[in-house]
Amino acid sequence: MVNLVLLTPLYQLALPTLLLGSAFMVNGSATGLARMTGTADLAGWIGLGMLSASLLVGVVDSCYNTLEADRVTGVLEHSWSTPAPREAYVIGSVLTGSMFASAANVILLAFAVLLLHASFSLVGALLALPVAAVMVAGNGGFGYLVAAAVLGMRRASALVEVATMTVVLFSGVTFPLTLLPDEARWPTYLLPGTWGLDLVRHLTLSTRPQAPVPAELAGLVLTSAVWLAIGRRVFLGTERRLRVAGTLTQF
Amino acid sequence: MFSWRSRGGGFPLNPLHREAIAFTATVRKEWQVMMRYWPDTTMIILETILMPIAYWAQAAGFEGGDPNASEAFAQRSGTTEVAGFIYLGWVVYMWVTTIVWGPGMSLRKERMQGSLEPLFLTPVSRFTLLFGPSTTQLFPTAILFTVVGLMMRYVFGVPLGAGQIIAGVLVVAASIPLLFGLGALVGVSVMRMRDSSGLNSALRGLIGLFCGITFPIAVLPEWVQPISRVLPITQVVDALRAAVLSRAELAATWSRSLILLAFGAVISASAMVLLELTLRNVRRTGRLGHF
Repeated sequence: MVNLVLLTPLYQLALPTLLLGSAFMVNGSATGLARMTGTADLAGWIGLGMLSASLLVGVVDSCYNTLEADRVTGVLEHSWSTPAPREAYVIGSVLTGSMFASAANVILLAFAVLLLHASFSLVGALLALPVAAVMVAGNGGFGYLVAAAVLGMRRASALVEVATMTVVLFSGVTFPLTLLPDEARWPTYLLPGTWGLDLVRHLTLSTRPQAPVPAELAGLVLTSAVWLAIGRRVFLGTERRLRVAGTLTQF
Repeated sequence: MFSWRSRGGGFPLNPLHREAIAFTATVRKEWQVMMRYWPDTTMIILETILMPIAYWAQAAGFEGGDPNASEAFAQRSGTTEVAGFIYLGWVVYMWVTTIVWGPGMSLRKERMQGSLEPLFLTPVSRFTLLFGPSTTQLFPTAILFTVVGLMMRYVFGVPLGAGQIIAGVLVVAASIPLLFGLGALVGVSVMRMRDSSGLNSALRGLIGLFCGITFPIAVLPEWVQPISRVLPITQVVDALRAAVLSRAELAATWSRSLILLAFGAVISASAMVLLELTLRNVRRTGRLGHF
């Protein structure tokens, strides 16, 4: 899990993005980024993107691996036979994945502050905590969907991986979404990460928000609630279907 | 193409003949596996086309319409063609990934399937075992470079004339032995490990960080830059970018290609020596089939 939420995002995403951004620096300042987003703090901007990406990837992988491991080792039926609600496995995985990702990101952000001179507003960071909590709730919806995919499809890894990467990329993790043409930008408004990340960056780095803050808050809460509801419904429906068909452990 | 029988009607006695038959059989088997699992190849091609778009979008964000930022990138990278810079780095990265995860894992796959010991009982040479599987990968590699060239030319408007295409093909052809050698080296190294997936992930990460795949080497810390510049993959990426984007002189492209061929010969020879040493070790310990 440490490799997944700390090391892999670091060398696959954070460092290459940071180094690419460094190639455009003028006299040590990210003037291009400042024009696009309102902040020249390249390390801080990327660090918060990594936070958002890690939170989602941590949840997705935790949900995926929990159920997949149980199924492959043949203990899924035993787990399902216990009086624990089925959703407990998903919620537990979401919380575990979020916990590990948060811990890893504290280290990443400390690295960004100490070595790369990132600078975050302390008040903004405190205000960003409830925003992050709502993002985790939205990620819970994706966790439900992943769990449903694992149970319902024989091999879901490719689909889960591609879908997760798409959501991460189009949440503004590594490039400002204002670069996208209008026709390509509207689907990004359906993702909780888009609103959450933009809010967190605005609060901690004073970036220009895509929309007024109240609208972004409403967008975050609405999209998180919708994805959570959809994800839960799909998971429960899939679990019921498998129970009826008797194919819970088949893969 | 090859006669299965000697003049006496039995198995061909000419060693080269036998080796050619074994090599052809290896290539044919890898081809059948590749065709059976064609979605894997399709995903690689899609990743080669789509992932650089994300990096190009990052670069556009970091450039932000500031001409000074564009100039800074051009000075550090040697080119103003950001899309071409990223695509050429990424296609080499995908080529290396294909070799490392494909042929580079072939010996380990044989071991896990239980066919490694019988394989080493045959008179097939180590050359065929190490380099046969990589030969099949030349086909998807050609597709990768073709689609990247089309993306660069027709989607991102990178100027690509006949001279640049020929120079690029020359560099790629000269890099083939190097990539084959790298795949063989990885394949032999993973034989000594129980689980090599961690090594392969780390290798991909290190290549992405130290070989200038999506950013110029000039942004790395100064003490790292000399190390990066001598790495074989960096040499491939630099030579390709110089030939295609910077329109290097043909003589310069030719001399760099010769250096790449030399690298390939050294790495390939090292892989064969390492395989021999590994086999001596496993003969003594009896761990050839262990994983």
